[in-house]
Amino acid sequence: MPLTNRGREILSRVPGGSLQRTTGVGCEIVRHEELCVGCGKCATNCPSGASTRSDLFDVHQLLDAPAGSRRGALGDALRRVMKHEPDGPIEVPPRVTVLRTISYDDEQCLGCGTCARTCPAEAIEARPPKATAEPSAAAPRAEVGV
Amino acid sequence: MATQDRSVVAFCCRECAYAAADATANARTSLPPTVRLILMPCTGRVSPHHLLSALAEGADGVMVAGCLEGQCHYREGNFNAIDRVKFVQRLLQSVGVEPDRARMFTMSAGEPPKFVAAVKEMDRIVRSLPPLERTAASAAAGVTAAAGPGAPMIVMGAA
Repeated sequence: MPLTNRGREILSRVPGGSLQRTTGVGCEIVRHEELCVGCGKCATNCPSGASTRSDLFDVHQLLDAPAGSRRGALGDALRRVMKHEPDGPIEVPPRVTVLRTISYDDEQCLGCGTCARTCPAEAIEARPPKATAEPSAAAPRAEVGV
Repeated sequence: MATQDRSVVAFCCRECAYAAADATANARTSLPPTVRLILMPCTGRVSPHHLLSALAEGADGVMVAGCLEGQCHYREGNFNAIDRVKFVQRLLQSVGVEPDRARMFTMSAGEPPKFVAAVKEMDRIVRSLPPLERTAASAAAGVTAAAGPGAPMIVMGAA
């Protein structure tokens, strides 16, 4: 399991922290896929490699996007011309940078909340850790209202 | 009659394709009446949203015409456009629409015949396909889609 030095260091500070149970640094990460714009900032900033920017795009994300957003407008146009439901994820050419699906691996997540802080679309929520761990300094700042 | 019932929207870059279109007009070469030209500062400005909106609002095909590869005046705008058109083609294919309805062409400003050939090629493609069927605009769009064929409207969403 790829872990950066920083990830190991964070993990070592957490009493009883383990990769399997991912109670790690504590926050519970909730991703709202319909708000995601696919920029991949969470993936570039993720210390443990839990979020990765893939080369695939799930077309359903366009159709599910809220009206009024950019993706929603794109989905609206697509809905008017489409003949059937999307076949499945499509491969994205390298120079199309934002219309991508971010894959998120719960098992590798430390719950540090970096992704929630860097997300420009406020699509990631870092909920404070449940009663077990003491509230870390990062947890209250990491909270993002959606 | 038959010439008017299809429409193609051509997004042309100012430096090359639109200049070629200008030269075409100056030489009094006629273009297929189905095509509508839209001036873009660079094809790198064209987003999937432009192409899909044009299709949704009345165009039967969209084409993007830019500079030759490696000769973009903004260095790599046309490479971005090539990939975006490719993305739109895959998007269309995944929902059952013919991917050929979106095409990318490249030419230099000094090649009006190439521009005419590209437009004719697009016209031929669109003519060989059935008219694009659309469902009614959703209430949220707030756009009257009944502007008639040949008058596609591009509506940009709120940023």
